[in-house]
Formats: sequence, structure tokens, C-alpha cells
Amino acid sequence: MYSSFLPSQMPTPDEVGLGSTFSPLPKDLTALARRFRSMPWGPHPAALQALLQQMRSGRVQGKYALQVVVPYREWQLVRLPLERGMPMEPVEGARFTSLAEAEWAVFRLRARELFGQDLPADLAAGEDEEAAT
Amino acid sequence: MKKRIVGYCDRQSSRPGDKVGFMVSCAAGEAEFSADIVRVISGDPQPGAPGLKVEPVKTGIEGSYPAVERRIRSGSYVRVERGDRLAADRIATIQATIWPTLPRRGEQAIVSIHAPSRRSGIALRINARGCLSLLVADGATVHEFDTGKPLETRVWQFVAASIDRRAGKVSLWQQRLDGPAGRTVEHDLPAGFDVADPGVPLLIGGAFETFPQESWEGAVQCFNGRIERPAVAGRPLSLAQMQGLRSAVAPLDAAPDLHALWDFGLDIPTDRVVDISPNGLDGEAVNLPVRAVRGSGWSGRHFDWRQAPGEYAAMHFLEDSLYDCGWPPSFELTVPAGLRSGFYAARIRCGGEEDFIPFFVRPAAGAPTSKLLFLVPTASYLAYTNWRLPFENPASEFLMSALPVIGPEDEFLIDHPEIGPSLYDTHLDGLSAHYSSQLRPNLNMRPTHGWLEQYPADLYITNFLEEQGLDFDVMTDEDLDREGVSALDGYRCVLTGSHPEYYSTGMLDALDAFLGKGGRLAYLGGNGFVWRVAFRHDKPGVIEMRRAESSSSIGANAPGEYHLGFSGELGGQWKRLGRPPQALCGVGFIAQGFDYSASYGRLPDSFDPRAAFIFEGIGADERIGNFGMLGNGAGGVEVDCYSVAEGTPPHALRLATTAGAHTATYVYEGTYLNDPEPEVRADLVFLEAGAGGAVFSVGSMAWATSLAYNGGDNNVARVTENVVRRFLDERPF
Repeated sequence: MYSSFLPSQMPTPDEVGLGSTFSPLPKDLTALARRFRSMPWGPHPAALQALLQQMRSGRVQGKYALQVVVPYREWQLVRLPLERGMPMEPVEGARFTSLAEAEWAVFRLRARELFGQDLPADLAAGEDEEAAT
Repeated sequence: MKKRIVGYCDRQSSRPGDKVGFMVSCAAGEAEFSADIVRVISGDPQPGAPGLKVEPVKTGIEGSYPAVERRIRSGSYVRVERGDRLAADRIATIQATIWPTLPRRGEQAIVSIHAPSRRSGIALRINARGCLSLLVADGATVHEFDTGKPLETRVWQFVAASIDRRAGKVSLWQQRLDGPAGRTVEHDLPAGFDVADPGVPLLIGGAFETFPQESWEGAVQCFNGRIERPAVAGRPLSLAQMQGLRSAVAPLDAAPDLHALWDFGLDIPTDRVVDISPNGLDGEAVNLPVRAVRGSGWSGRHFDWRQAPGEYAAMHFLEDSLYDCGWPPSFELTVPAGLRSGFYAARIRCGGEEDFIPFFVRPAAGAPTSKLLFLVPTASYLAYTNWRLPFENPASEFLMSALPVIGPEDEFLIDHPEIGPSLYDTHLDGLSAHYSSQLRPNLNMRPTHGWLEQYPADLYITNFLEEQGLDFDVMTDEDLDREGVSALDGYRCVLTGSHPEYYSTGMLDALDAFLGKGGRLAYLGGNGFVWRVAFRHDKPGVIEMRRAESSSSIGANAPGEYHLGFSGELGGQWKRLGRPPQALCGVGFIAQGFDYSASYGRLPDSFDPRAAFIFEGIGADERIGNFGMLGNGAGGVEVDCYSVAEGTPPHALRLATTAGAHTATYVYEGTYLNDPEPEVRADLVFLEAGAGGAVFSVGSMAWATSLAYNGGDNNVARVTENVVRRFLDERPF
């Protein structure tokens, strides 16, 4: 079967911006963050969806999760077990009474871990026209 | 949050007069727990949901019971009852062919007549260093002789040990089947030493232990991996004699004083383990070692074990396989005469926590109490029992578009991996789970569980039926599998649950025959009738599934292992087995997403006079189901669509659709190879079946959780009620 596209007719990865760095810093991280904060469960614009794909990938071991403290009312941020049979590890000082706030806290943690960027905790939520396109 | 109390029952389906035993474990430090029986109407406790609704039933079991903490002791093995030939002091050779999967995990017995706590017996095993060893003990002293060379992982190796008591020698062999000749390692036996018989059964894949305080006996030091043709003899055999037994090329009597040789390729659908020596020392498989798996001699010429059982003479043993926890009953219920058929549970309370052990009550045999039957999808409940996806699958957060939320039930599973996996998980050694049993606590089959699929979601259907005053009987998948279409005699309409994904051949045959006789089927779910499973009529409460190659993200089986051990049938998706869900109910799985659900818009077919009864009270432009507890819509999570190319009968009416209303997270999962226009959507479909029967399908898992919106006054409930009331009417379609 023939390929449905010819590499010779495609732009190179560099030309379309698939660069050589493993975690390219999104040009508009702050705008995407504002958009995420306003609508943490989407629907997300394509650029934000791509960023979330990157943030949510990786091994499950040690990934962030929310441990129920009071059902439907209070949650503790944890890291999932490093292997089956091991316990979850709580993240100190990260307890929430809102799932949206928990999602926002993890977004900020990952922005720091992936890009070394500190997003302000009180970044105003909001639509951003550029990010939403 | 840590759970203080868990439990299970010994049968999920019962009739008045039957006895149901309930096994309960409480956290250490608790003195007692209380129990009563309740009829379960609804469960979801989250804001905006109907909440937990149960009605206590007086049965005589209500009261307080002593709290006992029970252990879950898993691990599959073979048990052969002791006898003269299996006394440890009469064994001089032990051999097997093995394919270890976790040889570095610590002590694992291959063949043993040994109880570690008694310091007596003999065992061929993997020692703490990962080497093959022979353990011998005389009641006081334990000696262990090893090869000094770690076993290889996932490689077939011949292993054996013999004791020459006259020469005072122990010999060990460890050899790759595909490698150069192995070496013999010899050790001196201490002068005057001999093995003492511990008086315990011979185990394959474990060492015997008893815990009298728990009323439990079974295997410890369980083996992970495959074992083939294990044998024991009363004399030290030569390497040539042992190789003859291994490869099945030499007659058995070429090995002098052979006590037993077990061929796992025989009687595969059962627990029986056949000794092919003249001594008939058959054993019993315990906790479901995986049968019908490739042995060392699999040629690649056969893919069905029934055609070449000798190539399937291995079993895969697992330290985290479990059929029955085996806890003693905490209390026993005799189902009262006249108790209404329905969803019930033992409500158990301990340390400020309330939990439920669900079970289902049918009417007395041959005496349906309603024309309406809720077929409880217990095969699908089993498939998802204790699933570990939220905290063990790297795709969990992608799929859900949100952080995993770990409730107390998940915490229990994290703390107790020995409870065994669901059919979505792997065992500790990486093997995809083949079996799931209900004789263990099922942490997600609970009315108040925050995971709104399967049992917790199906309680929206029971709540709807109760609110509408629609009397109904219940029956489980296993009942239907066992009894066939005659189980449906007297019923006019069968309702499914919200996600009846797993079906046995017997269940599908029964539904087909029911429709052929004028029965009516309301499929109130999504991604239904997808995977073949098999029950075992001689062993209740367990299903087997092989996904074969057809799975999007969950482990496929190894080539040659697509056929179910329970039945011999080819496993996989029904669409690939020639019985697509579209042919039964007009729709089939196409996509899944877990953020927003969609609503349905009416299509021209919905104005066909044949469908008029469905839309009574519904406006021509009205969106159906733009509300609900799963993604705020009735069309979502896992969705099915109409496709004549894939098997939908051409006369079916495509009434309404969610096409064009889904978010980008909805991933196309169906393989609509023949359909020119596949599209992510849920379709509402109606079709007439034979002899005046009919089928209505919603094609969405989220539909059920929309039924309760606005106190039940909504168009999803209206459509559902219209359908059910007409389906109960005897006028033929």
C-alpha cells in the first residue's frame, strides 16, 4: 500500500516548529494558563489541549492525583505509588476544597517542572483571544 | 480516607428460600460491626444526584457481629492430596520445565512437599537469590542447595534436582531449552541427614501453609510464571531419563519409580490436573492458574489448544491470582419468601463507616412477578471489579481530562494489591488478567461509589423504575448464561444496564431467541455486547476473557492464546466473531470521551409513524438530554452508532443523534471498516424484531444518569418511559 503522503512533499519538522528541545516553552504560556484557569475541564483550544497532552504524559508512577479527604468536599494532592504495593505520597500543604483549584495548582506545578516558569497563584482567570484561537 | 469495613457474599443471585453467606472484614481495633438487609433504589450521593435511597427489609439477620480483620491470601497453585507416594522422604527426583516471570522477586516454590513453618519436607524452588535450589529439611534443620546461577526471565528452562541418599549427593540441573547443554551442580548431603515428611499436600507453584486462627490453608511462596510437565520420582533419575519425561518422547516406564507426572494440557476447562503416570495422583488447580497457555513446545502451527493440547501443557501461575478469599461467613441470610425481586444489599457499619454488599433477588422459580425484567450486567461488573486504571494506567488523566480522584475504595486497592486485578489490569508480572471472580470484595460495586459507571450508574435505572411505578424483576448475566432463553419465559421486555459490555455466547443466544419469539429489548446503555466472555457452569462467580488481538489500549493476548480455556471458543470482540452488536440492537461502539456529553437532535425517522409512540410529548425541535450526571448530557462517555454496513438491519429507524455535538476529546475507537461515513456520535435506534418483537437502543453510557434530572421530569425519562410502557404492551410490532 502506498503512503497517503509523500515525505518529499511535506515540510520538515523544523519548518513546522517541531523543534529540537524536548519541552519547548509555549509562546503564550500565561495566556494558556489564564484560559485553563477559567475552564479547567475544557473544551480547550488546540494550543492548550496540546500543552495539557504534554503535561499529562509520562509514567504513571509518581503522577499527581487527588486523594479524597471528605467525599465531594475536600481533597489532598498526592503522588501516585512508585510501584504496586507502595503508598501514595502526599504533597505537603496542598489540600483543596475545590477541584478547579486543585487542577490549577497542578497546572502551576507542571509549568515549573517542565519549563521552569513560576505562574502567579492568583493569575486572573479569563478568556484570552489569542490562546483561544 | 481508610476504609474500616469491606465484604463480599458467596452468591450474587438468589431466590426466596436460598441462603446467602456474607463475609466481612473490619479494620484492626474495631470490636463489632452491625448489619441489616436493604432494598437498594438509588445511590449516587453527589450534589445534584438522587442520593442514597435504601429501604430496610426485616430478615432476622439485623444486629451486631464481632469485628474480625481478615487477610486476603492470593496466589494460584495446584494441590495434590498427600499419599504414600507423595511422602517427602520417598521423593528422590523433582523436575519441571519453567518460564519464570519474576525470578528475582524472592522465594518461590516450583514443586514442594513442604510447610515452611514446620521446617520439614522437600521443595524445588527459586531461592532468595533467584537461583534454582533444592530445599530439604528434617524437622529441625533446613538445608538449601542451589545452582549458584540466577534463573533467566521469560525463558524456558529445564530444572531438576535429585537426592542420592546412598551416595550422599544432591544434584541440580538448570538448562535453557534453546541453549547449550547446561551444567550439573553437585553438593554433598550432610552425613546422616534425611528429609522428614511434613505430612502436607504436594503443591505445584507454592509451599503449603496453614493459618488456623484464620481458618485458612493454602499456598505461600507462590510462583510467578509458567510450569510444564512437573514430575516426581522415587529414585534419582539420570539426565537422559528426566529429559525423556520432559519432552514426552520416551515412554513413562523408562523413568524408574516415577510417582507422578502432571500434564496440564489435559482437562483444561476444569480445575482437574491430571497425573499421567499409572498412579493417578490427580491434583486440583486452586485460585485459577491460567490454563490454555503456550507451553515450551508450542509450534506456531496451532492457535486453538483443542487441536494440540500437548503444546498447551503449561499453566501460568501468579502470586496475585484469586478465585475465593475463603473467609468464614460473618452471617448468613435466608432470602425471605415473598421478598420482591430486585437490587438488595447487606448494609454493614463499622467505626463510623457505612458500606454495602450488593446482591440480587429473583422471583421464585417459574413465577415471574412482572413482565419487565432488568438483566443485571454482572459479567460487566465482574470485568471492572477492582479496576486499577485510575492509579496504574498512564493514560488515566488523558482519558478523563482531569486529575484522578482516589477515594477510599481506590486507597484500599492501593493498599491491598493481593485482592487481584480487574480485566483491565495486569498481574504483578505483567500478564493481562484473564479471569475475574466475585468471591472477593468488589470495591467499585457499591451504591455510593464516586465512579459513575456500571453498578452505581445502573442504580439510576432502578431509581427511574421505582419513581415511575414500573414493577420489575431482576436476573443476572450468569443466570441467563446458565439457563438460556427459558430463563426469559414470562417476560415481555428486557432492560439492559448502562454498559453491558461483556457477553457470553449463551447470553447472546438467549437474547436472540427471546427477540425471535416476540420479546422486546431496551438497550439503555453504550458500548454494549462487545467482548466475548465465558462462565463455568461447574465453578460459579467467575468469568474468563481473552481480548485476542483486538484491543485499542488494553493488553492483547500472546499469539496462540486467543482461545478461552473455559470453553475453547475464540475470544475477542463479537464484531470480529461474526456477531456484531449492530445486528442485535441496531447500534455498535464507535467512540469514547470523558469530558462533556452531548444531547440528541431528532432525525426524520423519528417522525415515522412506527416510532410515534417513542416521541409522545416530545417537541419536534426539542434537544433530548442536554443534562445529566455524566458530562451534563445524555449522549456520551462511550457511544454507539447506527451502521447498516456494520450490521444494523436496514429496516431500523435512526431516530436521533448526537452527531456534531461532541468535544474533540471524543476519540474514534470503532473500526468501521465497511462504513463509508463513520462519525463520532450516539444514535437512538428502533427496530422491529421477529414475531412481534422490537428493540430500542440509546447507544450511550450517559443516558441512564440523565433519567433523574429535574426530579425525573425530563425528556430522557419521558422517552424511556414511552418505550418501556409500549414494550410491555402485548400488541405485536
